[in-house]
This record gives sequence, structure tokens and C-alpha cells, in this order.
Amino acid sequence: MSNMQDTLTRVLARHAGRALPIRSTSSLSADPSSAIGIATIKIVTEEQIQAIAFGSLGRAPNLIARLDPIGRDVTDLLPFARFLIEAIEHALEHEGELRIWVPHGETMAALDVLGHRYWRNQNASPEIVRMGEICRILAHEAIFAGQQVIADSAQLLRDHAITGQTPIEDGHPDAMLAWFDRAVTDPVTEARQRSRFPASGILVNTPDRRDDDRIEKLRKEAKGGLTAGRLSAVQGEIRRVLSAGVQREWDLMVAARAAFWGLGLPTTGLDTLIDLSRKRLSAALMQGHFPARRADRVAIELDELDSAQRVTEQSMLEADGAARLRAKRAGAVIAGHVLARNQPKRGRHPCSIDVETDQTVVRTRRDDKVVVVGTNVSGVVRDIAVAPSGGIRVRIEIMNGVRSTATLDAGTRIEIMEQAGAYVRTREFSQAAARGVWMFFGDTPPALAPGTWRRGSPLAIARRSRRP
Amino acid sequence: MSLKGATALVRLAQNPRCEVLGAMVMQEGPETRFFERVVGTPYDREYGERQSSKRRGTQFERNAYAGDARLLREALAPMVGLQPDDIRVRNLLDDYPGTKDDARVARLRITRRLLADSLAGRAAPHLIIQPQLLVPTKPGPRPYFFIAPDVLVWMQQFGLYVPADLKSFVVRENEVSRADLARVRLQLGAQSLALMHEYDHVSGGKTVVPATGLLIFSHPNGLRPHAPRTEDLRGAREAVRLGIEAFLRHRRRIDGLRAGAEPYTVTTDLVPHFEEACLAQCVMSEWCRSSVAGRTRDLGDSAGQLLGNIELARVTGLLLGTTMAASDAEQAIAAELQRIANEYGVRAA
Repeated sequence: MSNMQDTLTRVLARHAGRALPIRSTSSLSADPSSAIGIATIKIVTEEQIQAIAFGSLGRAPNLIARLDPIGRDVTDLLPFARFLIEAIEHALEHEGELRIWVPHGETMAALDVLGHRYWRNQNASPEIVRMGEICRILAHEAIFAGQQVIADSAQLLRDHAITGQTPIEDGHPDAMLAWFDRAVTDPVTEARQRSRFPASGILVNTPDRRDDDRIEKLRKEAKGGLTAGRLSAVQGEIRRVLSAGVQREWDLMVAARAAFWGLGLPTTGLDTLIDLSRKRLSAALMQGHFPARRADRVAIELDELDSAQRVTEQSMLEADGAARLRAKRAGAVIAGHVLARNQPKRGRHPCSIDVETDQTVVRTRRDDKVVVVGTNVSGVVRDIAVAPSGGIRVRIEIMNGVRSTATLDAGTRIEIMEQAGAYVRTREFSQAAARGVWMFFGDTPPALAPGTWRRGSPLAIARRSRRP
Repeated sequence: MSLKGATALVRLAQNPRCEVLGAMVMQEGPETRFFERVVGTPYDREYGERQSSKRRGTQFERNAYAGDARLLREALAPMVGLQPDDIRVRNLLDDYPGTKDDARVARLRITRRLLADSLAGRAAPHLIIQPQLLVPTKPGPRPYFFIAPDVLVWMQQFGLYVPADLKSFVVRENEVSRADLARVRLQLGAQSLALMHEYDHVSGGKTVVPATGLLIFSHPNGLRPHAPRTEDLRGAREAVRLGIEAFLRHRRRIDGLRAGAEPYTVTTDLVPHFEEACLAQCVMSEWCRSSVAGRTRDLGDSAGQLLGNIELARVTGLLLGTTMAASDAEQAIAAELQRIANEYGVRAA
């Protein structure tokens, strides 16, 4: 979505007094019955989790309020560790099927730090170590575009709807929810009021409600030789404040999830993404988490992330009419009709089609690989020219689907978009590592061998090597 | 917490066009007091550093400086180009502790002397802990900003000191959140500018201070320094310089208006410059926002830039057809609004 479309949609949402959906399909598949939720409260800057809410959705969560989250004793985290391990074992038994709802990205960041602290901690129990590893795997999975495991409720709302407030205000899930609540008559005022209290996995600390400073004070008090009665009272108060804080985060997540599913967007066209996500998760859970550190491994991981992004964009464009319409306006999708089919032997290679569109902007270029939306037909753009009618004419050499006569016949209306290159160069980068290629593992390029240089412009050389 | 030192310069660098911010920097006392005096009600949102953050930050510095800064020496040894045991350390808080101006001035004198010693090739520490620097803005009210980096590190690469700041943020796989990084880079930029001033002071402008600074974050396990990040400060230093220039302009205007009264008294005569980012960092943001109420800028920076901060009622009028488009641009906006309204099923009326 362009900045202008985003802006004008915000104007409209302000006028309508409600959030407006900007997609016609969901980017998240339907929740499996085993879907769970996790919400956390961390100590600011410390990044230590001091309270966790977890459990199945639709039920009251289990709460852990940690009296001494900075201490070395983590036995209080065992119920969460066991819960997480159980959820993962269930996922492994069901081909990687897992859905974890979190209120916002801060929760994943907190879980990642938790994982970082314990996944290789030799002093921690095996369950805590496994919990740490699972947290790291989940946090890693969450960075892949189109992943179907972590449902970040705030991000999902932002991806699927636009409100009538500033983008920065959309960063506050509770403020954003005011635009989804039909009972709220003045979402502008309501959202601004709600933003007074943070909704980012930390305790409230406003002048009229200093929960965070109070907990800090109570913890200090609990450390200094109190009577048993006073200590119990102090600990009870810590638990009460933390439990209320993390319950608030859980409730936010539940409300955001309800608002998201309340948009009523169909969950179609996600099979590829579900499959990729499950495979990645299952592999990581069985083989363990190994962060990419060497240059070749980092390069492979970047390829994997890029590939996930491309596949996600293609899936969205194929499934989502609204997104495709926007892409068409930007020239990323070409909507037109087949003007002519050039196929000497029907149903056989070679085959090319001429497509004419009235669009004045197309982003496709010669040699781009393209697909025809909703079909198995794919090919390569061989020529782009201005049509006599004023539109644009595109010639495509068909590589796959030459028998799809219904699609390729003259007069058929089709939509064309770039084919996602989902190729990950694992073998190439591994070979580069084996050979110790200087670009990855050295500082100085090798001296060029003397030889004969081809004269002329590099563009001209490239042009000559292009297929006619 | 008042707007002083590097914090003030960072804020000015982030929004140099805001005259209200200029008045806040000139005003004595905390920002919330400024708000109360202008708005007439207490500030009811979260403000200032949390106790838990303060505790962590203090503990991190204490750990880093303990044992003649053993952990810091180990972390910075590659930059200094010496073995940790060969690195000399001087902690100026041992000489003059405290945050009062007298102590700061005393530390400033020592810092200047150490810089001069280093330039002259005399024995000088490789790490100066809690040095004191200064950015002059005289003559006028707020005639200087005290700038105190956590450490000055003598880098072998340059043969000069560069500022380093300790941040207790947790670093995982060498990643720090972008928002945190942007702010601390500006902070380092202010420190680098102040260091330029001090080097000019002791060398008569003959020293070219590199636009480099070091950030030392915390390991996730235990409060110990992570490997330092070397930051290119060219952009940050320039942003802070522009912020200082803006402050001098604002100060002239405010001084002209206030006629000796306190800066907050002329706030309503000043031109605020509301930006989205203000909502996350300035106590006056909602007050300043009232200057764009009912206008497209109220929907964010992008809306203001694209639609020219026109009245929202006018944009709605274009949608409803009750306002005639005055230009080709407005005509296009009206058409696009109609299209989006139809697409999302928004009834115009």
C-alpha cells in the first residue's frame, strides 16, 4: 500500500469512526484446536520476565508471578517450561501444527531473551534448557514472512486494517482496539485515553498508578529481614500486582484476536505458507537451534528470509483481490486480455502469447519470470511495447502450462504477476565455504589473471548475450 | 528531570523546528513542571526513568568500573591496542564525585589537562571514566551544556580519544533495537561535538576529532559489557549541530518575547512543530497537537506531507462532494477517496 493510499484510508477511517480492513483475505490460517496463548510482563531494560500468563485460548490462563526474577533460581518457571514442551511435543506429533498467540512483538522479544539466557545454561534443569531452546526457535520462526506459528495479534490488526489515528498510535494495541469496538462512539478520544497506560508487556507506571516502582520497592523490602507475616504480605502484594498486569496483557491479546477474527476474512490460499512454516518448525525442533554466525550460513539465512518474503507476497497477491487491485495500480500486476496465441503445434512448445492491457504503468521487465494468477501457467516476459490503443502489450514465452488452452486462447482475460523466486542457494554458499572464497572469508581480492578483455560497453555485451 | 546536557541536545536534534522545545530547554525545573505551568493541570502520563531501569543502569556501570575497570579494559583492549593489564584508567569520580556544578567544573579541568597531556605525548590514561565536557552556547541564558560521556577511550587507530557510552540494554546476537540505537547515536553525536570543542580548547583547533564513538551494551547473562559497537557519528554530529543552531534561534526569539519573564510564560506565542514522534517522547505533545487538531497532520507526518496539512473537513468535503476541488491535486484526491470509500463500503454521508 502506498503512503497516499494509507493516508487517504486513514482519513476515511477517521470519517467513518472505525477501522477499515485493507485486505480481503487473512494472512493467517485458521486456528488449530491446539492453539495456545502466551503473555509476559518484563522488567524494563532488564528484559527479565517477571510474570507470564499461558494456556489454551478460551480458558483462564495459568499465571506465574515471579518474586525474584533476577535471581538464579528459575524453578518458578518450570510450569511454563513443561507447558511449552508439551505444546511442542503435540506439534511434532501433528506435523508441526502449532499456533501461539501473543499480544504483540514485545512478547516474542521477551521470550527470545528468556531463551537466550537458558538454552545453553548448564546450571539449569533440562526442562528449563529445552524451554530456552524452544523460545529461541519460536523467536527465529517469527522473523520469517508469512510464518503461521506465531500470531502477533497487534501486528495482525495493523496488517489487515487501518485506523483513523497516526501510525505511531497504532503501535499501542489497546488504543488500536478502540477503533474496532462498535460500542465506542468516539474512538479518537477513547484511544488517546487508553494510550495513557502502556500495552507493551511492562507494568503501568503513571503518576496515579506506580505499579512498576512499587514492585521494585516491595522486592527491596522483601530482601531485608522481615517477619514471616510481613514477608508473606509483601510477597502477596507482589503477586497481586504482577498477576493483574499480566492478566491485562492476556485480556488485550484475547480482545485483539477476537477483533482480528471479527474482520471475517477468509483464510484461503495459505497452503504453501502453512507447509513451509510447519517444515521449518519441525526441522528446528528436531535438529535444534543453530544461529547463523559464519558468513556462508548468514548468506543462506538471508536467502531463506528473502525467499519467504517473496513466497508470501505471491501468495497474498494470488489470494487477495484487494491486494491485487492495489498492486495493479502500482503496476506490479498486469490485468489484460490475450491478444494472440503463437503456438505452431497446439498444446506443445514453443508457445508465446501477446497480452494487451489498458494499464499505463507496468513494473514487469524483459526476462522477468511471471505467472498467470489462478492457473498453472508461467513464463518469461520477452517483449514489452506500447500498444496502438495506448495501453501496453506484453509478449510472454510460456514455459509451463502450454496445454492450458482455456487460459491461452485469444480473448481470455488474465492477470499476470511476477513469479516468486523461492530458490535458496544452499549448495552454492556451502561450496563457497568449502573453498574459502575470499568474498566471505578474506579481506583482499585475488589478483586478476592477465588475459584479453572484451571491448565495448558492458550493456552492449549483455544485450548481445540476451536470447532473441 | 529537566531537559539538560546531552538529553536536551538529542531532543533538539530530533525536532529542531519546535520553539516550544526551545523554551523547555531554557526553563529551569522538570519538564512536567513546565507542562503544569502551561496547561494548568498535572501531567498524568508516565514520565522519567523507572526505578528498575535506574537500578540496572547504576549496577551495570558499577560492574564495569569495578577493579580498576577490569571488564571495560577487557572489552576495549582491541580498540586501545594494548593488553588489558597494560591499559591505564583514571576515574574522575574518584577525584570529584557528584553532579553539582562545582564537581563538574573540577572534572572538566582535569579532563582538559588529560587531553593536553595526551596530545603532548605525556603519560595519560587510556580510559578516562566520567570525564566532563562542555558545549558553549553563550552569550545568553543556558550559556553552555555540560556533556558527560561515560568514558573517553584512547583509540590506537586515531591516536585520540573518542566518546563511549555504557547502556544497560540487552544485546542478543549483536542486535539492538533500532529506536534505542537511533537515540544513543545522537547522544554520542552530542558527546563527540563536545569533545571537538574541548580538543579545540587545548590544541587551538589543530586536532581533527574522528566522527566515531563506541557503544557498550550489556550481555543478556549478567551485567557485563558486550563487545563494543563502533558507531559512525557523521550524521548524528551534524544533526546535533543543527539542533544547537535551532536552539540559538529559538532562544533569541523567546528572549525577545519574554522580556525577562520565565520562558514558559510565552509558550502560547511560540510556534510548536508537532511530529508523530513527539507522542512518544515529549510531555507537551498533546498540547502541541492541538495546533494541528482537525487537520491532516493530526493523522501523522505522512498525511501532513502528502496532503499539505489541509483541514480534515475539507478532505471529507471532497469525499462528500460538498467541497469543490480547487486544483488538479485535489481532484485526484477526491477521486481516490471515492474509490477507497466504495472499496471498503464506507458511506460518504
